[in-house]
Amino acid sequence: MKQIIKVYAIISALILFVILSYFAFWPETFASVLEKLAQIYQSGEKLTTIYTYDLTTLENVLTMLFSAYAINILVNIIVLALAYVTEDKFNVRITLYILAINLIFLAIAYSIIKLLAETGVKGISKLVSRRK
Amino acid sequence: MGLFSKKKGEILILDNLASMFAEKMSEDNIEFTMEPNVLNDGYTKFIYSKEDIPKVRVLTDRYGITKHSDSISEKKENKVIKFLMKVYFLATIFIIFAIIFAYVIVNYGENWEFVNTISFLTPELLEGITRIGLRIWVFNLGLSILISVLIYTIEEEMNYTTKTGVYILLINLVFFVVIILILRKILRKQGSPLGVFGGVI
Repeated sequence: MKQIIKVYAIISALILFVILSYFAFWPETFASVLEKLAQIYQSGEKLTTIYTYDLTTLENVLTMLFSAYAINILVNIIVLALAYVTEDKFNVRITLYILAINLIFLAIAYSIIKLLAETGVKGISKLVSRRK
Repeated sequence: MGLFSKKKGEILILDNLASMFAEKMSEDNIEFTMEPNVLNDGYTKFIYSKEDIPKVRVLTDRYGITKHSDSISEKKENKVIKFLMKVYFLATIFIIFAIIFAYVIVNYGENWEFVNTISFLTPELLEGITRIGLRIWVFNLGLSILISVLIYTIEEEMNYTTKTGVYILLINLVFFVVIILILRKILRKQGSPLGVFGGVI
């Protein structure tokens, strides 16, 4: 069980690592997807509506990563329950650590999307175009 | 039960057996010191001279303390990983300071005398440091998550190396929150210059 939890912890961390690497190396794609998500948030539709949009390959991968991240939070809670029944301190601690990181990022991501929705799509477009 | 460590002259004994074992060692005239073992929670470490090793073995055999000792060995921190984590910790702080320094000088240091005396500090260079530095930092943030989890899974303990990984992540998260606060200020400034952070998104 310990090995399974270790592998799960590393996969969880990898998802966040890849998302942040996207942010570092393809900020335009990141901004574009965030812009679309902000639009959806503003219109009050479900965030999954983004899959109906015409997305590039990079954007598609990123939206899938976002989905994987969201699903991972649910899986994390289940793994935490499993870790607890193993009565192993390490299993519980590592799962709690991952859950804490995921929740902190959820809070930060929510505040960014909310901020972009508040300032409007123009704000982010203006910022992106300034980069070039 | 207890377990022999790889190093000679040391043995780990379960905390609840430690006082009994100490008593027996004293009765056999073995000189020793005791210390709590942080890496092996629940065990006390006994340190004694090499000459007393056979005597200690007799004692552990007599009281059944070595029963399961062969399968477990004392956990020790990996020195190479420890050193790498120290370097990574310093590198993270350096990146953050470089970004803050460049950002402050670009935005507020136009008339600062010391800035004007340093010939190579051009606005382009400073903007470049902020822009590229922030990209490196974002990558570093993801890397710090991965590394801290990886180190924790390897060490399985909250020791110095693991704690360093957690501290690096915490420092990065605090900086992330600061950036978001600055970004919020920038985005809400309608029609005013956006500053170098604007180029980062």
